[in-house]
Amino acid sequence: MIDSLRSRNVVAPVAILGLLFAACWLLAAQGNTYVVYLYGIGLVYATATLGLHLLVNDCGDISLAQGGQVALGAFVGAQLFPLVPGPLGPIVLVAGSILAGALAGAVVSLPMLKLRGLAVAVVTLLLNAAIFHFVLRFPDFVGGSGGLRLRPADWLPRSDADAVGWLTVLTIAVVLAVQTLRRSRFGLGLRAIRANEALARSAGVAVQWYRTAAYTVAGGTAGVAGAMWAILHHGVAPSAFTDASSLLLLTLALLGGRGSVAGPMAAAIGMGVLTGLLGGYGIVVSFAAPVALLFVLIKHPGGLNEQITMAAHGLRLLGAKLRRRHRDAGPPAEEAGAVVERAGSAAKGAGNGFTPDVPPPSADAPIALRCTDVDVTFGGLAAVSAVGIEVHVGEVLALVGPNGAGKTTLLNALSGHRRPDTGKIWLTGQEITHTPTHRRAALGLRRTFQVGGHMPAEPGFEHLRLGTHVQRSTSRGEVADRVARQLGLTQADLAAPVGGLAAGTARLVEIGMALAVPGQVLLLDEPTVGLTPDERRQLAGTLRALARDGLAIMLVDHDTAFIRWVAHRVVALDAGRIIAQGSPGAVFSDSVFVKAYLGSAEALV
Amino acid sequence: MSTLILSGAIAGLVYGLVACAIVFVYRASRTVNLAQGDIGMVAAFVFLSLSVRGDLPVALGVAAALACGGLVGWLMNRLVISPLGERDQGTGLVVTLALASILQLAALQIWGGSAYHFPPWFGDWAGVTIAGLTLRGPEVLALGVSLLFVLGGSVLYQRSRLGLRLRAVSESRQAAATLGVHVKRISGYAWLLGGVMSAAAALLIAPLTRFDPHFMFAVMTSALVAALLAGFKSFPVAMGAAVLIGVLRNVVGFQFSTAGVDEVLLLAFAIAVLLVKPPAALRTVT
Repeated sequence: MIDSLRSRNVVAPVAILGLLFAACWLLAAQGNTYVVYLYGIGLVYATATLGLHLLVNDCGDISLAQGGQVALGAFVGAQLFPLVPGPLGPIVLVAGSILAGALAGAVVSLPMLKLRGLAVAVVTLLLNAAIFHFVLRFPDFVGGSGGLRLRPADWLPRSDADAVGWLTVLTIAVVLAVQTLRRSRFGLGLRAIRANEALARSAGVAVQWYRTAAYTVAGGTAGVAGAMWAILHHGVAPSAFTDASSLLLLTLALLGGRGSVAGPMAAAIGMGVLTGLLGGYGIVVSFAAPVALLFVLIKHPGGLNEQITMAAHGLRLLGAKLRRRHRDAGPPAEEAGAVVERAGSAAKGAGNGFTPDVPPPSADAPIALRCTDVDVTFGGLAAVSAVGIEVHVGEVLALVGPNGAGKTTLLNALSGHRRPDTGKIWLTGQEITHTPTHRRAALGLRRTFQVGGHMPAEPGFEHLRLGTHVQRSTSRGEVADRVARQLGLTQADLAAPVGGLAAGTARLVEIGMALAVPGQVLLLDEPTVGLTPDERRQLAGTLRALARDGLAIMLVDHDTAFIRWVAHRVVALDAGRIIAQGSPGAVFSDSVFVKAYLGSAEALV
Repeated sequence: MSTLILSGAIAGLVYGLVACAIVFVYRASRTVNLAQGDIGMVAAFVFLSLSVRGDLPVALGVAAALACGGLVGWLMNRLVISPLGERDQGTGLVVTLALASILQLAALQIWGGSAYHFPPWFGDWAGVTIAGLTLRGPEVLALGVSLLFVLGGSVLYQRSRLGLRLRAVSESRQAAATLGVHVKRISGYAWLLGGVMSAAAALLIAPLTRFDPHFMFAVMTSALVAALLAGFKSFPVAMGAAVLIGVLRNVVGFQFSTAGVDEVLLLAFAIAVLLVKPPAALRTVT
């Protein structure tokens, strides 16, 4: 199934763009070269939009300089082209353009290493201004107001139809490159960043570098678009671009919407051809882009992709009706099977997944995770103060305490999401106090979140794939089978978008993500929220089994029954300090703890 | 040189007004308004049409321009930002850039693209000379009015009931709503006041610069960098950064007469400061 998907991803763009090129060739043969030229412009827009699609729709960042980078690429390429004679010329043209665009993208996103996306988006606006108001006004660089001409003898297409052939090849190359990136670990990492940055970090994604890379890729595609512009026009003039072109390209990406590249490409090619045909109504055209943008963002945030999906769905339904296949009921039967299977696995979990009395690890078991003297303050509030805690290999440790006791803050300090003000943290003897979250994840420190720990639009399989992000050489099928077995998830659960699953199932997918690669330490923040009693029992059994195999587990939870099943040791926090620790039974009857929890000294049942 | 620095600092105060308007609007609605400068541009053209080319008294023309700025800001929020709801901040940037583009296109349609003469305030008054430094009439006014706005703004923000509600909304929209603050209405007021500030800034800077539908561009980029360095949070930092940028722009623009070199300077300045001393409010790792 994966192979057929892959070939479809290559065949579909090649076939569609090839057919469009054939249509252009026919039009050119009839002498209608203007439309052919406009289609070429559309391809330039489409190529520049492809990189933005990855940046804007996948990663959720904004570049307001894409038009500037297209212009920069065009001029750099046109400057380099005459330096190299012969067939190498066009190659140097394209390569120079890509480099120029990508370099500008990389430089402008440098602040990303420290700052939120908003800051970088604003910096891209400044880059756009600097390019249009300074770089493109250097007479030597842009060849005066007449611009740079590429000599026609030098290995370049002569007619518009030939040029569109070249552009089609370049566009296909960019589509395939962008699609490969989007389907790779990199693309998945970008989508995870968009869904939840903290989640992406804890899955081992180097968030800052990924975003910088996304800006670089977007700049590179802008460079290709610049080269295409120069090839189509046999040169480039400064008047060809205005600083509004960046807004136009951004509009095209958002008009296309999240998901497939089809939406943005359709928007770009459509806009290229339409604005050309409406050339006489210049004012209508220039108002159209910003107004269209506002309309789409307010009324149809899904963009063209949503419309395309809906249309395709409608067509499929229509086709099914026409062929009278609706009585066949294939999919419902499959679903019913899934339900049966699920019920079976839950029953199994209730029956033997739970093993109450696994002895705690011996006292000389090595320490997996340790922290000393950790302080975390929010303004004047000491959320965690002077906490020292350790969890041994093979041990399940539960953190308990009333709301606001600092349990989640402590987990954040351990996983690296919140830097402690003082204190040190070691992972199996290695100090990790200043190690970034994603590297802690790669070292085997995995975690789940109390809320928002998944990507709602992605299926469970993609979550498990994100879970294996730190290990390149993991077989996806194997991981899915193992995790599904451990947690009692069905293949149907893993195939559906997690946002549509029951809360408990989604929670299990999140835990599965943290279990996707063998780790050293697992931190779980309220894993039982949304789980049924059966699922809780099965989870307890699974966690105990994982601990027996050498995993150290630290979890935060409020379900005392669950903690009694699962935990070897309990540490109670109140107001950021440890107030009691010991076996579950001892802590839950400890008068200090019970008072902190309930306000009176009546023991928990 | 000292004249360059002084006039740069005064231009910087005006940039600072726009920067404070950006911070003000951001704090109330989590949107960086890239159209903040062009709201002022439209207001300045309204003044031009009413009081310079028309014959409305100057005081009424100024009042109408300020009201127009406020109205445009309020309408933007009411018609576009509010219906968008809670989206990521990138969306706000894109939308306000589109609005800026629409305002500029409309101004080009109505008033044309060529430069106008914007009459200096106080006609032919030569200005004041202190210790060998001459301040022209419009500069004196810019200095006075900016300081007045800073003073009035901080009193409004810190002391008044409206200021309290604005601060509550900027801390947490949800918490403010549960305490009975009409969050949408308060955001609307912020956009209105931001528009008035932009209009005032545009009227102050117009006689000191080339006046056409793009004349707020340099003001806007400077103000944006100042607001960015303030983390879209602190008014004093935004004002200080704006004055510094005004001085830098003036001095560098004078040293290198190439057009646009100040935009490159601004880009380099922004990247350098963001890397060396990133504003706490925008940092990723806490």
